[in-house]
Amino acid sequence: MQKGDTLMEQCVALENGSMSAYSLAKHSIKFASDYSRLNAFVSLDEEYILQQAKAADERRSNNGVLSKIDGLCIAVKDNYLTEFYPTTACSHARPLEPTGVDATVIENLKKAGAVIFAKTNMHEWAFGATNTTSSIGVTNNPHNLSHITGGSSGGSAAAVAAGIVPAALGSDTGGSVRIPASACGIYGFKPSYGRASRFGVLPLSWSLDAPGPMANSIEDIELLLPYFFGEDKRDKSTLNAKKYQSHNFVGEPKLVNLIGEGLERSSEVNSRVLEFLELVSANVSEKKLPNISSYFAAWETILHCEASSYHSKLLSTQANDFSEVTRAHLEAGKDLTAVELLKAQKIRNQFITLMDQKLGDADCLVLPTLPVTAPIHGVDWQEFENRKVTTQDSMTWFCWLGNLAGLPCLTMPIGSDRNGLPIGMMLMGRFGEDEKLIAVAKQLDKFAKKVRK
Amino acid sequence: MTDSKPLNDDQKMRVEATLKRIRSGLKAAATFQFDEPVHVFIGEVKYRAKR
Repeated sequence: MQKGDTLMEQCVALENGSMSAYSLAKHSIKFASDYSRLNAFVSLDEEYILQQAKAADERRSNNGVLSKIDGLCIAVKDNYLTEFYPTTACSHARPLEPTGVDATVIENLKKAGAVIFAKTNMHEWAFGATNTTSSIGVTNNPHNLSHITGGSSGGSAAAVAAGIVPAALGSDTGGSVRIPASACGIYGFKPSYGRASRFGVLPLSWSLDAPGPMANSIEDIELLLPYFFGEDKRDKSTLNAKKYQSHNFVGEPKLVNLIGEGLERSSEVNSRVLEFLELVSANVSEKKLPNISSYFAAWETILHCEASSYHSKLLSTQANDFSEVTRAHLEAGKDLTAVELLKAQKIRNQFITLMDQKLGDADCLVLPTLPVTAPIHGVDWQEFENRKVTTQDSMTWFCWLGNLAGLPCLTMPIGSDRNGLPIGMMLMGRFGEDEKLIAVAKQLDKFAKKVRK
Repeated sequence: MTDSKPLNDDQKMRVEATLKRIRSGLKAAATFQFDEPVHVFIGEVKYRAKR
């Protein structure tokens, strides 16, 4: 086994008998120990992992394989409820949810025989995009330990990028799957709102949250999506949601590059993106997005109000257990009024229409995933193109758009900067057309492989 | 249940800055009398999920 093997490669190794689930799990446990400086994991139980792997091997030897992913290790962000591992949201203000329960996605993966490997480090309660606020300390970027991973699913991204596990789970409210995936040089996917079950994934903001997979290839992302999609009686937003059905895309994808005030990016990221777009350029147009600050305010209003509402009980009983920054976010949400929230929801309605118009008859919208590469630990501000913004804001810079409009979004690595830090490209598809977005991304990925260095 | 510590100066500054930014962004948006907010009613979600 090589570090960084994809799920697909590990599937083949299991099928042809060159590896057992037990030996794959043993390697992943060793890699986790070798890379302990990443601080990617909050809970990892060797005995539990090996017990699951042994059971998978027994099924295989009895011709009882449950699925392609039977016996493969998958790491889980610490805001997914898991029956075996405790769920802490990486906060000293501990979740009030029942223990001993699996989130729907975990339940689906376990039925398919996946090995639930470990729980991963995250930004406290997912309320932040840097992974620098966590009860177990910061997560470090595998490409350079002095840089952040981005967040809030930073531990999941670090574990996959370092090759410890072939795939991991994250959740995304303003980019929390895509941001660390981009900063660590892997693939990450946020489904359309209402297609993937959120049951058992601790909420940050009910109407913005989406669970999603992170992996080393688009094919691996697609392999995992059936375990996220479809109706779940325990999450009413998925009522009548379609199951995942693979889609073929033929021809040259038609892309819209979004630009405008508030969508600036560093020159190095910009030139890499332009180089990428030139390779696929026959069908690329540019469109401007106006009033970004109002739309951003709408996203922030909804986020803060919903998070404060969800945390109201913990805030009244354990306020001192939240980190200072997270508590300040939650207190801000309490001060916003119902009228302001409804105005934000009106603006959100306009934004959904606007994004649909910008997409027009194109296949997807394109932006860099981040305006900068992974920042250095302890640097609170980022400067690019006459902008000076907090590191936190630079992380969500482009990503919140997809959550406010509920669109399916994918980040793919398209190269790296002069310091070897990854640059990611984000694609946003039409609402509900997640399969088409994956199919388009597969086409573009062929080009991406040419510019990756 | 423990008594909550009052917010310190840094936290107060963060709360103020967040609210100021949000309110200025909301104020700048043109919405009209008959615009409707996005709802999270099941009916709407059902419609959207089926599209």
